[in-house]
Amino acid sequence: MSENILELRNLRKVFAARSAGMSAGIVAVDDVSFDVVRGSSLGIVGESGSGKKTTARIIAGLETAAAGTLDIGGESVDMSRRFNRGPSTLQMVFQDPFGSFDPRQRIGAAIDELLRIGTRLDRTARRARVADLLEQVGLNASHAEELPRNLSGGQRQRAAIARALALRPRILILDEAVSALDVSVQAQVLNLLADIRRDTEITYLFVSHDLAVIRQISDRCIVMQAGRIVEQGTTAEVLTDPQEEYTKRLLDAVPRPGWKPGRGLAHNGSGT
Amino acid sequence: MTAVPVSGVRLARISTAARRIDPILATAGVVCALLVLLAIAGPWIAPFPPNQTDVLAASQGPSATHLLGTDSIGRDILSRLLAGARLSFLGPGIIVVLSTTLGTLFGIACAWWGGFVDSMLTKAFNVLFAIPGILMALVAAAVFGAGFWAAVLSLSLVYVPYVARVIRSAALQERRRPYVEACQLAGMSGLRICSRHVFGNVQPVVVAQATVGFGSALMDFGAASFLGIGVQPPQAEWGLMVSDGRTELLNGALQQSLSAGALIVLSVVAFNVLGERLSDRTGAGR
Amino acid sequence: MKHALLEIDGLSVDLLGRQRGDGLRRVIHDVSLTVASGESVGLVGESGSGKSMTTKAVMGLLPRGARANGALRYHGQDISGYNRKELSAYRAKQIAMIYQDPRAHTNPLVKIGDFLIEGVVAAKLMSRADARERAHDLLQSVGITDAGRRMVQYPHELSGGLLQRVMIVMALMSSPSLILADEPTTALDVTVQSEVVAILAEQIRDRSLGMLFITHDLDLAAAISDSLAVMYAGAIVENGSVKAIYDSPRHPYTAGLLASRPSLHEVKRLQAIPGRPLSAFEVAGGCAFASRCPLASQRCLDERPVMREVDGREVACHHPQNVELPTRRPA
Repeated sequence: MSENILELRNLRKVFAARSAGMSAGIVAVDDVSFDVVRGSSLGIVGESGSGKKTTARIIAGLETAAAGTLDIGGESVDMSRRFNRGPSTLQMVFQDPFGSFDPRQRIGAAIDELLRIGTRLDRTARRARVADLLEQVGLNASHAEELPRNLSGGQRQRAAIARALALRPRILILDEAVSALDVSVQAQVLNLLADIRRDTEITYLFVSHDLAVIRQISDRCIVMQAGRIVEQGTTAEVLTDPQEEYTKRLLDAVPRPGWKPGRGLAHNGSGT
Repeated sequence: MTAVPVSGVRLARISTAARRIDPILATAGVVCALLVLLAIAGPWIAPFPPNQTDVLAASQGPSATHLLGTDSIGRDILSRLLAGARLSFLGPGIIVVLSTTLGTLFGIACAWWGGFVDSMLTKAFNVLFAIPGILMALVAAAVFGAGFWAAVLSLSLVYVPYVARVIRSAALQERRRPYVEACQLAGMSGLRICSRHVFGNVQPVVVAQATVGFGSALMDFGAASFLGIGVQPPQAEWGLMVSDGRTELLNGALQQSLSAGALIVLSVVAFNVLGERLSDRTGAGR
Repeated sequence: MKHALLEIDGLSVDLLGRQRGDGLRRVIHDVSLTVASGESVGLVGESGSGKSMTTKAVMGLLPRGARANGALRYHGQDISGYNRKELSAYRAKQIAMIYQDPRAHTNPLVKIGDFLIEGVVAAKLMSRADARERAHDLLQSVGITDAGRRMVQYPHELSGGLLQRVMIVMALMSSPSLILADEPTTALDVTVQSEVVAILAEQIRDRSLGMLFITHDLDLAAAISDSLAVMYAGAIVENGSVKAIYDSPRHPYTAGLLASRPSLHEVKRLQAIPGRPLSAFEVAGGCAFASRCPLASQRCLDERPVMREVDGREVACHHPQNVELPTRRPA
């Protein structure tokens, strides 16, 4: 039995040209391949237009892909269809804490709805599970009665994580899940995610533009640019001793102690 | 340290959630409620039976017994107005219920499925947009015979695309929110997502649209009756009364046409204002 | 010789509550800050810190119904006493603002060149021809070598980074003496951010302008500013030179911010500040940070600390000496 929970080979995604004037279309993802070990955390790093988000969405089944193969848990997945990965295989936490919930639905009811569809638990059991999940993410059971608008961004994101964990998925895809949070709250959620991984066997796929966050949360990472993988390896190696020019440029551009902003780091002088 | 308010030279303004009571909205709401009440209770508070004729008392001006006078065959105008409210509101009511229901269904379907379904339905709507309501009512009258149902059904059909268009864009907006994808990932069926989540969040738009539609339907239905292709005599209905009163207009007796016409105008304005204010709120509330 | 360009002195701002009948909500509390000409001040804070509202106050653009106390002096003159005309001139010639989202502040139907000149021409600062020439020169000085081509393009034809450079030019067109930059690079990729920030710093230096740079990123602010002011819940909690504050913060919030940031070089349990950032009106009494502070004592709950000089900078804290200095590895 393979150690890998996920194996992706030669993924390619082209978005159709939207207007007659455009040529063949946009190649968002080009020949991307990687493996993810069960229970590990893979970081996907890149700037805008790198294809990191599209890659994650295709794996999640939110987008289709015409070329490439995907194996999850040893089973082949048909990437030409959406939403066929299975709710207990794969779940996602989105970037926007505000849009992640139906504004008219209480948090507890939202999680309960998932449990009602995805499990055979009766009402009492579901209620108990909702309370458990909320506590697991650092909220109170009483938060189940709150509407999303009464929670802060950090609380909403915790609730989103609770919802994503409700059906006990094997893989959790986090799409810029901490990018919209204040720095002090971001740290709380990163610690929470580390705790969850420690306590369960879950696997993370973490998409982010923030290199320090990737360093914190992932064991291995891939660096993407213009739809291709530029560099991959253990996160420590890639970020401490980058081999590729682009990765070095990215690292040089991150504000940190002693950093000075520099010109000529982006793609070309007047083109960015 | 001085306490001079810098706000004296304000320019930018933070838009606040529309929670304040809007006096115009409230007034329109009250008027609409009263009119609906009238439609329900009309015949019971009418002094005379609306169809009771009294040829001897025909074409009288306002008097103590007949507050608004009588029409050409001696029926009390006030009573006919009060009783007529029923049909004048029932017709548009059914039109709105039918068109809003169908329009909402189609609108959400377009937004949810997109692609082929969306383009086919949109083309169908474009065809319907090109047909004025009255024209459709005329065709219906010609084919099925003039009457209440011919007018109601034909107008309902013509109103569907207006509702569908507005609901479609509201539903599209809703569909793009991340929680919809979260529901899909959880294995929720499209039907459940649309009925419980999408519909729930576009509901305010539906209500606003229905209210505006009611105002338009009042106009069109009244116009159909006026033209003789809607409600038929001897029934009491405002549009019909405007038409009946035409001969008296030539004699200088305005009561019938004017009072019926004024009620139509009042109703249309009240419902349109209410609908538009509700629309603004749902737009701003996002 | 540096003189104070902008002096914010004891500024407090209250906004009207959201619902009718709500009282006033305090969003800025007793803020004092100076920017000298040629000086870059980094104003750092999270949500609810009041940093954006402070810039609005400086621009004289507080929302309707806002009440402000305190003094705002520009070149020694109190701008709160300005009438409409004076305020207009102040905004047109003396200060300029660069916003976070350039696309929201450009008209998609107006060409770049026209957009750049319309402000100065309308304010009668120079002729159209002179304005065009100035725009062209400024575009080149921010690294847009094909300035002539760019001036006839529309905003949607430029990337986010390019457009933000255009906004920098826009800000410089009227030769202001103070630039307010409100999170100008938050929406940009990190490599683009580096370029844009470098260009901004260069322009500020070359023209001896003052700058108030607002950001939530303490590392970024430290790289571009001469001095830092850290805001929390509508008040400044620490204010001083970058070296003093960044290397050895004396306010628990500043230290907490530095410690909670993940590092590029190592993985460790992040020292997260519990709770969430508050707004000024959510603070009952005493120190605004007390509810989240590891050093909070009874005095902190009862008595609001005032800014005082400690270790070469100003801090508003009762226990600045006990702040644990974060261990930072140099880049």
